[in-house]
Amino acid sequence: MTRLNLTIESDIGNVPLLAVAVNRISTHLGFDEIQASEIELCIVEAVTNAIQHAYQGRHSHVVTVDIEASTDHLCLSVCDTGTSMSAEQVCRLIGEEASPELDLDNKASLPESGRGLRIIHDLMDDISYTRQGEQNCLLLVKYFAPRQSQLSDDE
Amino acid sequence: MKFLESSDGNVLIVKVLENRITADVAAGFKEGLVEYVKKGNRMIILDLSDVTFIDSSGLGALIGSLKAMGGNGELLLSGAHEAVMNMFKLTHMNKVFRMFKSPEEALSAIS
Repeated sequence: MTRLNLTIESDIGNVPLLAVAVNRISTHLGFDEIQASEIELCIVEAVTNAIQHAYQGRHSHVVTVDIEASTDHLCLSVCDTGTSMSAEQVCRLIGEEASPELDLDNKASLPESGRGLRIIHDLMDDISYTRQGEQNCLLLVKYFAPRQSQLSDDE
Repeated sequence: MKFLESSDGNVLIVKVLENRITADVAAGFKEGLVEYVKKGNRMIILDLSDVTFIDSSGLGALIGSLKAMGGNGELLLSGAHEAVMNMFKLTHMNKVFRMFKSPEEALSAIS
């Protein structure tokens, strides 16, 4: 088990450096470039969400990303000490609530925001969100290869 | 946000001179594109060949720019890298924006 902790101040300008680090760590661990880009995207969405919503864009707080790599998966834990996600947001994140149907032909109706959590849901293998004391933690898991259960489902 | 502009007839070609379109630059990105729309440009090809990463905020800025046209005109995209294209497919925005390999290909499609 390899563990690493990355911490940034809650300034949106700090996210790219963190994201690029996670991308490089992912390729170093064996993910291909597309998978690493997807993991990077999820981290960007999760950390941006923490800064913009948990901290309402306020600086001088911290967002931490704990990275744990084992033989078959990468685990990323994004934590903040701000306002927790609403029950509705958590449902969207873990997939218990279907996304609203988009009318792609009606461009005026397309929302400009609100896709981040759904993207994380679609790209990560396992997701959980917990409040531990004063800390909100979003746990994201990506397996190095499709899990046996997924293979079975596909068969 | 830096752009490089050129034109071909009434088509404005805007190359994005940034590698990443994310939350930290999304507002400036949208502001720049909406400014082109306010100046009367109604057929815009956005060259994304330098862009290697886009997040949901960047995508939202693109949608906002498209909506600023008010249904009168088109914002076409060209040169999207694989990671960027995957983001459009994941969010089904590849069905909202017409996407081409190059500005030349986009020009051919609308001429």
